[in-house]
Amino acid sequence: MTLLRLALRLGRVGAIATGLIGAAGAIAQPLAFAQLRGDTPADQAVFAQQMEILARQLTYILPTAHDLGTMAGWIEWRAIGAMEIVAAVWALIAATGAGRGDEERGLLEHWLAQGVSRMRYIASRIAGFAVLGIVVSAVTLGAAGLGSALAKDPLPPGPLVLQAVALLGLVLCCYAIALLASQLVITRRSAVAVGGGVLLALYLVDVVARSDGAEAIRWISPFWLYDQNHPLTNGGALDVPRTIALYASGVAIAAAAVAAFIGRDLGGALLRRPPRDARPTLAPSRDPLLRVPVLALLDQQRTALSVWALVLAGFALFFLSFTRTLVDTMLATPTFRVYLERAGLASYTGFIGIQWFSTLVLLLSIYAIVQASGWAADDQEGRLELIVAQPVSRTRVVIERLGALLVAGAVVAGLSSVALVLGASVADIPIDVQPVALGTGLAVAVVFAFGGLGAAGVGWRPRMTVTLLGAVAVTSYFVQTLAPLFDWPGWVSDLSIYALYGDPVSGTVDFVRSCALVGIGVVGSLVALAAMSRRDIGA
Amino acid sequence: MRNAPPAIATLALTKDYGAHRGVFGLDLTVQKGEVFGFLGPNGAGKTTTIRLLMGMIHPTRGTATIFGLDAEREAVAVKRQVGYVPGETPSFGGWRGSEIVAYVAGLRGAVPEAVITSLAKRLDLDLGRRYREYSHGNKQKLLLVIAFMHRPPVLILDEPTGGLDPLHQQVFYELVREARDAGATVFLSSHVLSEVEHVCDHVGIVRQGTLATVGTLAELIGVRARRIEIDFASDPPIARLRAVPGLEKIDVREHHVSGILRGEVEPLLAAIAGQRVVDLQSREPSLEEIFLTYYSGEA
Repeated sequence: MTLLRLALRLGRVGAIATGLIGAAGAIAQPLAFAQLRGDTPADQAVFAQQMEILARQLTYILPTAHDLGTMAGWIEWRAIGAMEIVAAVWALIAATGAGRGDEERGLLEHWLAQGVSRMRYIASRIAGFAVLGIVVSAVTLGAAGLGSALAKDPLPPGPLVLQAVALLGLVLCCYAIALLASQLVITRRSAVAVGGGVLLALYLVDVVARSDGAEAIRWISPFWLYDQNHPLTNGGALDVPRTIALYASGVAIAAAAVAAFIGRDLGGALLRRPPRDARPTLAPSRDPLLRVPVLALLDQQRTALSVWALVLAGFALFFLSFTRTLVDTMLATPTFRVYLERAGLASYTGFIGIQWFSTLVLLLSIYAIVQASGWAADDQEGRLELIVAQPVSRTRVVIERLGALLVAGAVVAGLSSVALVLGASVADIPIDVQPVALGTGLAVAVVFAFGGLGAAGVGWRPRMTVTLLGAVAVTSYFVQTLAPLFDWPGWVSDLSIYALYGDPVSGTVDFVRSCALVGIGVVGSLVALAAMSRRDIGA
Repeated sequence: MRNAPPAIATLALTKDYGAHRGVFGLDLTVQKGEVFGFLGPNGAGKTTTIRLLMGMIHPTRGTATIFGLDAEREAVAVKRQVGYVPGETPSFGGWRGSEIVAYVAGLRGAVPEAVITSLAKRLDLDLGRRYREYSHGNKQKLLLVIAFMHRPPVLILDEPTGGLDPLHQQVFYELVREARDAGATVFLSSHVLSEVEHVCDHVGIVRQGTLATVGTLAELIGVRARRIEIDFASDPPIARLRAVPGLEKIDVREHHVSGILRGEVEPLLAAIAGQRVVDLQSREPSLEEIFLTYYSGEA
């Protein structure tokens, strides 16, 4: 029981985050549906037809839609369908943590030295995740039931339970795949890359299958097996054979992962690289960037920085790929048109300026929070002590960190905006470069604000700071996104920190708010400088 | 002409963590060219003292100086003079040893590459490997390369031989002797007494955050106490032995008596006069015995 409690404890943050995301979507979507579907049968028919068209355009992020004129169909498509990717990401992070993360931190060696068998250890981690999976699935579908009840169109509990069973099967199968991938490589980072790559490939098989392709291989994708379930919609049901296949494949892959875990060396991998050149290296690296302030920090994180830049640029292109269709479809739907006009989204530029740039600043905020978390790790893992043992002032450490963050933020934001402009050109969407450049510049100010706050807080309460900033970013994003949908008063949307960013691309720049954004960064940086000079390092 | 300041000096240096944890009123002077061993068990305050010297933590009271420079207010200038091995090995994940050395050398500036290469060769350290692949001993070797690579006039080393095999411990002792011969000052914390006996000229013993004693090895070992071992042919004269001034830690096992004698030998000889003595040995106690004496509360 101790090990199971440990597994539950180690997995609770991911489970809470996934449960919150699932519950938020599952409550918000029924409420949104009730507002958007229209009041008359004719309006509702038009809405359903338009959404069917939209759903066909979005099969690469959402499952094929059924019965979109009903609450059940809407929930299955928009609320539960969106959980596929979220659940897979959660399973990936949890499985690589159990399969490699604990080992990297020396926890596994400690447990094994206490007489815990490998089988007992890994079985407890799997069981712990299964328990958390049950809770998350139940919370998500329970929230869907609550949301539909609040929208005065309640769903019966039986189909909700069946949908939760299917969702749990998908989560467990993704976990098993990532756990097996973790046995093939040495580090958690590699495990995330390999496991994520395999899950992405299986997801893409399902994406192709949604358009009636990949008939020969679609059965290998757990996402496809999951997508065959429609217990919520009229005439739909739980696909029992495929759900059994989903669970059975999860169990089989988990068994293979357990066997690999028991059979491999601690700290080793099933797949070994050929031995490197036996001649030792005695000279320091000749990489000139390692000797240049700020650039040295960027050089150290070049891989992560490249991944962030490429992913965001790819995300921008992906966003542009469906912008035209999405805007056209929604404008053709009267109820959506009202929402789009209220939110300033009733043009391509407005849609890009608000939807893309609000997503961009959220992602850049997360980037800044990740960096702040890394600064905390520098202290906890002894790197800061070694750096400050050189003739380097503490002031320089703070300034270099923030400088590197700003440069990296500018690179990531800049590349994504270049991709956005190029993508707009390909999609034949007219967009002015100047406001995009302005929006990109102000996005760097958002990075500065979060970086300043992070730098100020990590020396004091690192975990709390990171959690708090994450909560501020996510809450601000949802407040900003949901405010026009539910027609919340202006002061509510002003509670979002992103209200200071505004809408520089399709609207106007509020100079005072922009200065406030920079001011937060400046104040945070000054507090960070003072805190760094006063605090004890390594104590 | 003014005297040059000592290499390392602390004055009433205090770091109070509460609950009697920390260091308290530490007065210590280490002259240029000395190799100073700072002894104490875990939790005695060695690492706290070293972190105060390095300006990593701020003192509650008192000051620490390196060549007259305040360790707290003139931290950057101090660290130009110092090579440092921390008590805990940091984590550098997937970095290669060569990248870590280059990065730290970049922070320091003007580090001759030939010195780095020579140190890596002597310590048998492959800088091409990733840090996470290093054993504990190799991580320690990397820290030694970083500490010695700029030939600093002061070396502050917190338990520097942790994880090193005996062969490379000898290399480390050589590096310390070479540094001393070149005029450097070495402040070395340890709880390995043989290590301190190997390389240190002066020793300080810290107990519960206070300096229990400080002096040269000769002062601590040779002058102030002798280890006495006597084998009697019959029952020893225990009462008379207990009355000998300066005879401490008396241990009687049948006909065998041992103890530490501080002071003159004549009262002891008078006490055993008339007894048949099979064997009598008088020798300098080991540093370990001195150390244990201080930690038994009988100092």
